[in-house]
Amino acid sequence: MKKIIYILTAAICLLTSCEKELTLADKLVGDWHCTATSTDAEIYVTFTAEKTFTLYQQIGEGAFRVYNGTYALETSAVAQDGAAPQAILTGNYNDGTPWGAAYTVDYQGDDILKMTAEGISETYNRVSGGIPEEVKASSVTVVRSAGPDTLPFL
Amino acid sequence: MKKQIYTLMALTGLLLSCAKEIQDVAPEMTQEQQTLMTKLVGGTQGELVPGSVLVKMSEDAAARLNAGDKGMFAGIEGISVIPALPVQPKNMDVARKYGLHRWFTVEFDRQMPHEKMAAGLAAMPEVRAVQYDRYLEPVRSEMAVPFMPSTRSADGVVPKDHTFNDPYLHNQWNLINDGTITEDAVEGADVGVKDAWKLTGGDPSVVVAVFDCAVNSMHEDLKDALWVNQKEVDGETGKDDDGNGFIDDKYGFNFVGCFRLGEDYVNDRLDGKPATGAVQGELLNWAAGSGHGTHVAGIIGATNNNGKGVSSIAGGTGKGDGVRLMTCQIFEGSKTTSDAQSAAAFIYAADNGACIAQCSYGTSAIITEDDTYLNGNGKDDRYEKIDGSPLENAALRYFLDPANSNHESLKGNMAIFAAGNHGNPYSSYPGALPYVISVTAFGVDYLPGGYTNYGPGCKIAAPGGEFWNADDRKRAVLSTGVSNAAQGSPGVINTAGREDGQYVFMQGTSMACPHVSGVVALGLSYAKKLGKTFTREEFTSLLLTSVNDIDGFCSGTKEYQGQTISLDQYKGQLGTGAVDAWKFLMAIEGTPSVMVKSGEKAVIDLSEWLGGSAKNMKYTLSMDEQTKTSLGLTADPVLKDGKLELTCTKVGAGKMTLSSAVGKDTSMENGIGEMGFSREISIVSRPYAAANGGWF
Repeated sequence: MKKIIYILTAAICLLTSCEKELTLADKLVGDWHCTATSTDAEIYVTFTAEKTFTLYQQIGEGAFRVYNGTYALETSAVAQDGAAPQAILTGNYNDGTPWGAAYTVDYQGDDILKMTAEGISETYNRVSGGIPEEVKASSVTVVRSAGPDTLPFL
Repeated sequence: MKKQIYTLMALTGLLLSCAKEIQDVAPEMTQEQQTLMTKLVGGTQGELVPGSVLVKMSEDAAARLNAGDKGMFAGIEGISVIPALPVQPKNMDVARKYGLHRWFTVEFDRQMPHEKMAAGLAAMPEVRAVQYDRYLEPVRSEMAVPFMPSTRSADGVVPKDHTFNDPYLHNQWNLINDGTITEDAVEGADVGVKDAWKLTGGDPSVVVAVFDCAVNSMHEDLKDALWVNQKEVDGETGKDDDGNGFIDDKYGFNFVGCFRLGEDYVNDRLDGKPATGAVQGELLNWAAGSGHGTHVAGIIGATNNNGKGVSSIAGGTGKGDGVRLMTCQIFEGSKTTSDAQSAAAFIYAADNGACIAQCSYGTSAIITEDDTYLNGNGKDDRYEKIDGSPLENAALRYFLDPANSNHESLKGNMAIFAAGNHGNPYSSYPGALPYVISVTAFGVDYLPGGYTNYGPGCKIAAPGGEFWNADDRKRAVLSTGVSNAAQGSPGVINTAGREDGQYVFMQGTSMACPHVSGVVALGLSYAKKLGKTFTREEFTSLLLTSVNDIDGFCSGTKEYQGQTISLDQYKGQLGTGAVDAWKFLMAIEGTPSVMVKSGEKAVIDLSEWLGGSAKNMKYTLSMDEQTKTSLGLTADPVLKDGKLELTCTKVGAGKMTLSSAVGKDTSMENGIGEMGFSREISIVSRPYAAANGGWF
């Protein structure tokens, strides 16, 4: 009997601690996919728990371009009343270029992420099996052949 | 009858007016000479093939001749008339399109002056044109300086960041210039291939015909990169084993001194029967001369990643996946091909699978009009015509024709020529023609080579090197060589069967040219990998707009051979810019995009898209209404000083086309023609955009 009580107590403590550790940052970690039809772009991104990201983007035709960098997410704990948490997502590319905008991040369940900036929202779906291998294999790093003021050749 | 009379009158009028014009120019000419002047085409300078003149017959006369009726020549004694080309083109429809079936060689007593026979032939109404069969001007002897192990420190040590393990790659600034090989080396003054290799190293389906000295088939770094005619390799010596009309063409063919076999062959052709003989030539002789062809071939396709020697643009990745090199030998030391033999070389390349003709040769005379080169009708107060070979040009057109396409990813074939090394303000021909590429040269410091031709007719620039003495050899282009030539004993074929491990430095537009051939070959390899197909015009447009700015370096002066020369004269005169293999592959992938911030005026530097000379060129912009709507363009974009200014008010994407031309001689009404090109670009408008193009 004592053994059963101990087990039940441990389980309750475990469950309680899981609920307390479930943050927006945790939910962000993983692989995501977005298709932005208005700009003919296809985006894959991996956010890691170490606050790094890998971005694969295909704009129009051509191969996916890959970028790496770091991100920061100012989050609040999941609200008790279940209201969507507010969080601001910012980042910098490894070449030192900051992101073009800061995003407001909203979750719709665990598998849909809405990122909004400048009034434009883009929806990302979680990719359960990871970034497709063909995307990773064919992606290329952006190479700049001109000066820093020249818009890159994507 | 009336029609015939009118035609005769018109012809007479034409001849009389031409004769009068000629009479005005050269009143001392006889009637015969004047008639010759109306029909003489091509060059008259240089060494002529003894006892031989080329004629282009009327369609009717050609048909009769090809059927065996030589009666029209009955009035001229002591001659034989045979088809000018030693081999019948495979694609006779295309051959007829360019009039190749109308060309014949008239052979006569070698003691007779060419002009006398030519004048007699010109008097025949069936003869439409007369061309002297001339030998090509030999390649100006270019110094081949051997590669010495001490040229650069840490030889044999492959830097960790290099893609391939070829030990001399870090001496090849022309492939990867990190700015350290010399004090004045400029990082990026190369062909931009380092990142391109991550996508492809080549493909054996791409065959590059090297029109030059033969390629050294015993070289350790080339022997696995050769185009191989396996049936000839496995067959009998002295026999046309694969039935292509050429004997013993194992790795290509030596057109210098080649000849048609036997009277039966000739008679069969004239009787309209399929040729029963074949073309015989000397074996490929790569040792005669400086090893020019071997050097050129190595730039394009020396085997990569084999732990030996040098790397090349399209020599694969070490898995036998490089492009293949076919020899079309037109130079053999001081000996060269005649016009008819050069024409045969283009036929051979077309009929045996080459999709790129790599031609580091051209005229030395300054020619300022396409018509002068093609038809020899330059307004010259001398009797002699200007340089040119209409027969060779017809064969070149045969090679280029889409009906003779030799690669699944390209409709048509491509020809790349050197712009020339005479420092002339015009490209050499044939390179200056509007349907082929002419390549200028720059050095390790991104400055134009002091020797390079420039100006009208030039299409694009590439590394050619510039060095002044053997001590500065590392400023030249390192590639595969020929041991005997490098050791000062040219002409001795390596018959001992030993593998040749010679590497040499050379400079010139001859070296710049194969860089572009190599980039085109790499591009075709990538197009095949992606399953894409382009017309030659589309592919050329992508090539000419995949360049880096070189004009920015063309200011001030430089010293060259003891003289101070102005760099300003080269600004906008070297073609669209310096070829970039990476950009080319990206262009082949698809229409490139640039992201702009919606709601703000964006200024896009076109040089990133269209080449370094964008600000010097005139472009026209076109886009459809859907693009304007999608991007929310309330005003038309403005093209100014090489920059595109536009304001997108909506989030969206759209495409627009920019068109321009290169090579035009704007100072003359009928000067050197231009090569038009266009490029589609995609604009993506978002309310935010990272400066590096990143989506976030």
